[in-house]
Order: sequence, then structure tokens, then C-alpha cells
Amino acid sequence: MSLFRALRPVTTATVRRSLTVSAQLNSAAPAAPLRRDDVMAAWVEYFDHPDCDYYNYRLGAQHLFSDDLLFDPVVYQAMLYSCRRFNNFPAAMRTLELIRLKCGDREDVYDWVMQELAPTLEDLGIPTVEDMNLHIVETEL
Amino acid sequence: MKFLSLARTIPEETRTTPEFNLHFYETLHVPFPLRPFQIGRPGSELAAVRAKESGDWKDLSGAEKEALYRGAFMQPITEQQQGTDMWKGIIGAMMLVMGSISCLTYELHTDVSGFKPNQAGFWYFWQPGWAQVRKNIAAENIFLEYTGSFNQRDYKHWDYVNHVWKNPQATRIDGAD
Repeated sequence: MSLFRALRPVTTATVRRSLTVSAQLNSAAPAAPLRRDDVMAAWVEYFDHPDCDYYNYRLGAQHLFSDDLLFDPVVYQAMLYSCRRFNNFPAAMRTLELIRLKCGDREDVYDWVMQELAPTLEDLGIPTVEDMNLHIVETEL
Repeated sequence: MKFLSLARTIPEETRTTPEFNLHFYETLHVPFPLRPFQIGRPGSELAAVRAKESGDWKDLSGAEKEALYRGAFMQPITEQQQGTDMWKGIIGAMMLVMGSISCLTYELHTDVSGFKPNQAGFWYFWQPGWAQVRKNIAAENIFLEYTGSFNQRDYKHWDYVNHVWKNPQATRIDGAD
């Protein structure tokens, strides 16, 4: 036991937040259909967790973006702050691109989501998809 | 030959750089790849920019942000949504095959079977010139009665006197008489 302890890397003490919603959802199957607010709160807790690294992020993000649903901008905000925490700028840009993909041809919805996320983008210093010209495709003639 | 390619081709100048990551895989289904597109070996420019990524993102210039994105992903989402020209190749190959089979069928029908255009089918089969053909087809039944070692015949249901099947409408069950 002591030998294993010597080989284990040193872990810093992290303050564990109390998982108010996602703990109950993950521990037992819900008896009633989940409320929309609970779903959003659970996802925000998932991405706000300090132990969320790129692997957990892409797991959650692929789960989110494979669903035919636009989540509340609070969830996307939590995702962007999570990207900031593990220092991955391209993941944040890819998230914004996927939000744009999810909105489809509803430009008004996309404008609203970007409007809600504007303070976050300004706080973190993330440009929008149009600012980085990722929405333009160069075709060969 | 762009209409024959299923995957997107990576340009050669990207493929031959030492930063190119062979294990990179990104699609619309897997938009967050586990590995970056370019490795960023220690000492390269990309590694320096990635070290700067740990600080405030407002300090990154536009070119550095672009370099970070291009170093992590091969194509933006809008480029991944583009299709290929493969459908042209598929339809072309299909037309080639169908055309060649049509030519072969026409040659067989006209030269070998002797059908004439607009004069083939059930009603023409009973014209005077076709009697020998009908006799040849009937004579094949006698060939089927040949007792060779390779002939696994269903002798129980074959009428050897009239050279036809006994009760052809009956249901035959494997293993039963």
C-alpha cells in the first residue's frame, strides 16, 4: 500500500462543489420526465465542475450536439468557461461553430443566442465565427 | 479524379510537413477530435502559441488565434459540410455497366437467338421458323436424363416416358419423397 502511494502523482486539494441536480440524476433513474430547467442545471453543473477537462468536455459536448435541441445559453456559457479552464481556445471556437450549425437556417435564433453569449465572449476574449471567417468556404473553380 | 474520391483529400504541402498528425480524425459526427491536427513539436511556433494560450486570450492576436484553430482542426464545420463529386462517378459507372450489358444483350438476341427487333416474345415463338428451337428446348429434357456421376437427378418426380415432370405444380419438400 505504501509503495503504491509513493508511485501515485501528487494531487492538489480541490474544493468539491455540491452537485445539487446532477448527483440525483446520475444516481438513480428519474421517476418522472425531467423538467427542462433540471436538464439545463445538470449540464451547467457538468461543465462547471473544476475536474472537467477536455476529455469530459468532448464527451458532454458530443452528447449535447448530437441531440436535436438548442440548449439554454447558460449551458453554452458554462461550456465556454470550461474551455477557458483547460486552456483550449479552438474547442471554444468549435463550440460556437456547432451552435451555428444547430441553429440551421434560423438566423434570428442564432442572433439571439449570440446576443446572450456576447458578455461571455467579451469576458473571455473569444471572437465570433463570423469574426474569424470560419463560415466562408472557398470553392475551387 | 475528384468524382471517384470518397474522402476529402489533404493537400500535399500539409501532408508532408513534420507537424502533420497521422492519427487525426474529425468529421461532423466527431466534431471534437481527441488529438490536434498539428502536433506542435517543442520549439516550433505552434508550441509557443499554445504556451501563450494558457494566459489571457485577449492577449492573442488574430493571427495567433487563427494559428491555434488551424493547428487543432483541419477544416471548419462549413467546409466539412461540403459534399464530394462522387455521385457523378457512381452514375457514370452505372451507365457504363448498363450500356455494356445492353450491347451484349442486343448482340446475343439478334445474332445468337435470332430475335428481330419488335419481333421477339411469346407470340412469335410459335411462328413456323421456331419449331426447331422448341424441339431443341424439349430435347434438353432428354439430356437431363443422362446417368452421369455428376447428375444428381430427381428421378422420383421425373416422367421418363413423356420427358416431363410429374405434377409440376406440386409442392416439393426437401427430404420428402
